[in-house]
Amino acid sequence: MSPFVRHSLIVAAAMLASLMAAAIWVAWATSREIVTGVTPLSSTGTTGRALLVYHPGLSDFPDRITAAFGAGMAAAGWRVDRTTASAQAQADLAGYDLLVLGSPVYGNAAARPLTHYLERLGDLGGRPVALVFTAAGDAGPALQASAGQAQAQHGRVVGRYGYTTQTPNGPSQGHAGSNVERAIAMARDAGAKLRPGAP
Amino acid sequence: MSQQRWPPALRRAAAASGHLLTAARLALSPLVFTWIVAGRLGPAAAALLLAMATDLLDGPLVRRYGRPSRAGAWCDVGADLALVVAAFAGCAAAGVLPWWPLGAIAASFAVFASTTRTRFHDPLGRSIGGVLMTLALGVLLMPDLAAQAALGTTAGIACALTIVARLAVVSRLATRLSA
Repeated sequence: MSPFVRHSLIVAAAMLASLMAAAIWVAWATSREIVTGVTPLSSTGTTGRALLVYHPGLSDFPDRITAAFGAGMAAAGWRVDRTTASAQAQADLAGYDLLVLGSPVYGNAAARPLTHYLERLGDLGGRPVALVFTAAGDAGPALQASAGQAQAQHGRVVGRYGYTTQTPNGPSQGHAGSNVERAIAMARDAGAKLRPGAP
Repeated sequence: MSQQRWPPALRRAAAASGHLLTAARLALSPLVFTWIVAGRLGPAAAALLLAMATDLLDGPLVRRYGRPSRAGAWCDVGADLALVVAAFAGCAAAGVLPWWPLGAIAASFAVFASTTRTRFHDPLGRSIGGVLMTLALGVLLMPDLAAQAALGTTAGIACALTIVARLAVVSRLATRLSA
């Protein structure tokens, strides 16, 4: 065996082993629940009270987007509580006028902790639900699937928002800066425009 | 006509083109970063692919038609590092990947640079630039956050493997020398 072939085989074997280890780790990391307490993003306001439940994902993008969305809502007079999706997350929605669900999209679906949390909520009793997803490319199929799940549980979907890392986020809407900065500005604007009775 | 019979001017031009390709790779790095951060992953992937092609050609051109030097080899490694850092930093800044693979990449290049005088067979370490460029290209072309995260994590693991391998050999050599 020539030295070049031996060198290539060693590199290929090392990369294959690394890729398999990485795939196992990512499968675990994207489906594990992250438990945090309820953090008030805004404790004053008269527009209504909202619970924002999200899955942080593996990069800081979902966290920054949901924080911006919550900040926009707070600026519009919402009282907003934020927490992560887990078995320990608040499931009693009494006292909340709106449920906001945030998640990164993996394989055209929301992260498992978020879908499991939504399942645990059971009947939403006509409560308004907004979806704020982050994706590499198109968040549409995941938004569609989660909206269907919320509607099947008698939730009223009042907003679907998708922000991407792989395609420019709405340059035509006049937001400047990097793609992430545009997405954050758009999320803040979307949160500010959300109203309790929005269709 | 074999290359030995080429006129000296032509040989010098071929060798110079090798150095120009290294410089071109360095020049493409900020473009790759800028386009990734702007969410223009198509142009970023094309620029990265072009830079990878320069990495394949520059070394052989200089070795065959010019005089390979230690400085030239360091420029080659520096251009590789700049490109890889640009791609992974861009991905982290764009929310595509977390920041930690970038730390692993910086650490692996630092260990590589500090152990270049240690002669041993380290196939992955010798190819780490090309491996990381390929993984970065995969990240740019993948349309899914989980798949991108898997490739970014693979980059981190590959860097960790090179660090462990080099430090293990250096440690063994140090033990032998002190015995």
